[in-house]
Amino acid sequence: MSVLRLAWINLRRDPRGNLLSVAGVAAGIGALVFFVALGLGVGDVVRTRIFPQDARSLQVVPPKVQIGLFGATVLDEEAVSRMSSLPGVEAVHRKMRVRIPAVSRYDGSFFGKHLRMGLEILAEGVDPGLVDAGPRFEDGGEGAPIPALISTRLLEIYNQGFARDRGLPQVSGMMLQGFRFPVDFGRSYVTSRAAAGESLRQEAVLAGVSDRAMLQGITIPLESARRLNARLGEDARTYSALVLRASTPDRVPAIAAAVRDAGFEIDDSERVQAERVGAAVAIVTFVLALLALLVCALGCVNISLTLGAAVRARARELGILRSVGATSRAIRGLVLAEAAAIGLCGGVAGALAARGGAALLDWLARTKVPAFPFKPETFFEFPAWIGAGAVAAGIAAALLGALVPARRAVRVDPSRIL
Amino acid sequence: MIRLREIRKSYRDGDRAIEVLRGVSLDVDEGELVAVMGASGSGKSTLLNVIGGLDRSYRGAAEILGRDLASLSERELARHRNEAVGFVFQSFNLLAPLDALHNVMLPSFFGPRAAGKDARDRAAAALARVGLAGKEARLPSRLSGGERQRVALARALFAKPRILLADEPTGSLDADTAAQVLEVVRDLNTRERLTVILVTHDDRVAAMAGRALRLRDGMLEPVTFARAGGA
Repeated sequence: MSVLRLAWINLRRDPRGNLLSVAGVAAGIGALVFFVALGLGVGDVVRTRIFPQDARSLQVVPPKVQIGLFGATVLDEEAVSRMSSLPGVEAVHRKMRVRIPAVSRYDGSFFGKHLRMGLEILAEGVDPGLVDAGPRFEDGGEGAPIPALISTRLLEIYNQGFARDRGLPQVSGMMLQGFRFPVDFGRSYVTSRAAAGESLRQEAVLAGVSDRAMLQGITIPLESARRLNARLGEDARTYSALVLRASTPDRVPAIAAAVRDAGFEIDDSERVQAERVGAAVAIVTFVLALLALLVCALGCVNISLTLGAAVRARARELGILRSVGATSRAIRGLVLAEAAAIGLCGGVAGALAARGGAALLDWLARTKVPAFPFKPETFFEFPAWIGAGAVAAGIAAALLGALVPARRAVRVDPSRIL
Repeated sequence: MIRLREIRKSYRDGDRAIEVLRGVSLDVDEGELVAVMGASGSGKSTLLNVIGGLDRSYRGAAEILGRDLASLSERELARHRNEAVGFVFQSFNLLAPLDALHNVMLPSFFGPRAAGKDARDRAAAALARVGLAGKEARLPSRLSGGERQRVALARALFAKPRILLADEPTGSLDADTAAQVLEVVRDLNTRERLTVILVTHDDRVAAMAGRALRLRDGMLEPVTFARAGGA
């Protein structure tokens, strides 16, 4: 306690020099916290909004190349049963593509604007349990409108890109519920495959949006897809994919291995893409953090110079302390305590500066930068540990800078100096 | 109390080694007041530093209060300086940012007991003992030379040491103030049987001591003063 008191007294003797040291540490720590929080924030947007991932799920698809001698390896009800019985599998959700092309032509009112469009549409049926969209997402049978979900990401791209550019209204998932549009199954703008066969006009009604809906089309109930495929003479028995939900994330690797052993493949293209983008964000964050660490290193050097000068100037006082019983450890502790106080202040100031800088950048992005898809409310994430880490890093940087001055202070020979 | 045998100490001056103590032997009993005289650079302060445990790079044997200083660890030696001996220097050596009270209680910052109310009370009592009651809150810059030296004396006595090592304590003081400081030292010596080693240039100061020694050519030799009214 007394050594801390002495350290505090010493710090008050050179407020300008120590304030500069605090500023040096604060600059480094502030930059470090800022870039780490930016990396975490952008990474979070990538993980939760652009490529939302469920750590407990994996998607099983049939093998791309069929080499079995006793028939193809297909995802049928038997495969569903086998997957359901795998240890650790909590649920199996089926997916079936509508295996014929489809287009939508719309010419009418769209939330107060007139909309004319013609779209090639992909459709995929899923077990309603996969998207958890409620009672609106149920097949109504032959002739009834087909409930459809669109991807949250597609809606974001429409709102922040397409709608803005075309002067169309921005809409929410809630607003879209109940919107009806025609779909012609068996027709295509881009392929002649469907032209010869039968076509079927159906009305689709939007049931909402979902993170699990397909990005590049509409997601419909599995029974609707099965019925459409059967009606148009396509395979209505096998599934295009199965989504396995594990009881815990740590069971996923073992389940994936069992799936591969059974001759199926794991479609992890979304996960790989998410990981690639996440890795890119992490690399950029790492490089920026390195730059910030360089600033921290400069802060260290500054502390070393300031404390070194202070030790030289106070050599006589250090000798006096030795004469009244201070050990080497106490002298070292005194210098390090001064450095730790500088580091503490620098760490806190740096963390606060980073928060301030983040708030400023978010405000600028909100008010000055035009909207764009997936534009977040904040680009930063400040978990609780980042504040504690900033203070700890500030203290560590200051202590590192104080090592040489502390050693020099210990070497002061009281018999020569007094 | 103090037993030095064949103490040798040399300094390097460039390529040259200067031997300031060339086999000094000394015995001081409890309650003695010994004056050590000598020319500048004769090794008087070095001798005090050896006894006080500030200097370990000597040859020979220094046994203080029954303990060979060479055998003590760094921590034990620090404790020796903290509790067994008190230093008073010519240039006071007070810490400028600390007031008189905290300068006096400075040894408690590094002692076995933490500085607290007890230490403050003892520091205030030490200041009162040297005639500085009421000046506890004064910074050294607000004290006269004599007052500063008395603060330094109070600090040296704070931990109730058995040995006081005074290195020209009156060298920076005028005659009246020097007499006051010496009076305090002599009083402590006679009343409390404090052992005092007093380094001085001044014959009159040395004459006050029970025994006077001179360091010449690295060796101690006795000094005899003709005392007024003496035999």
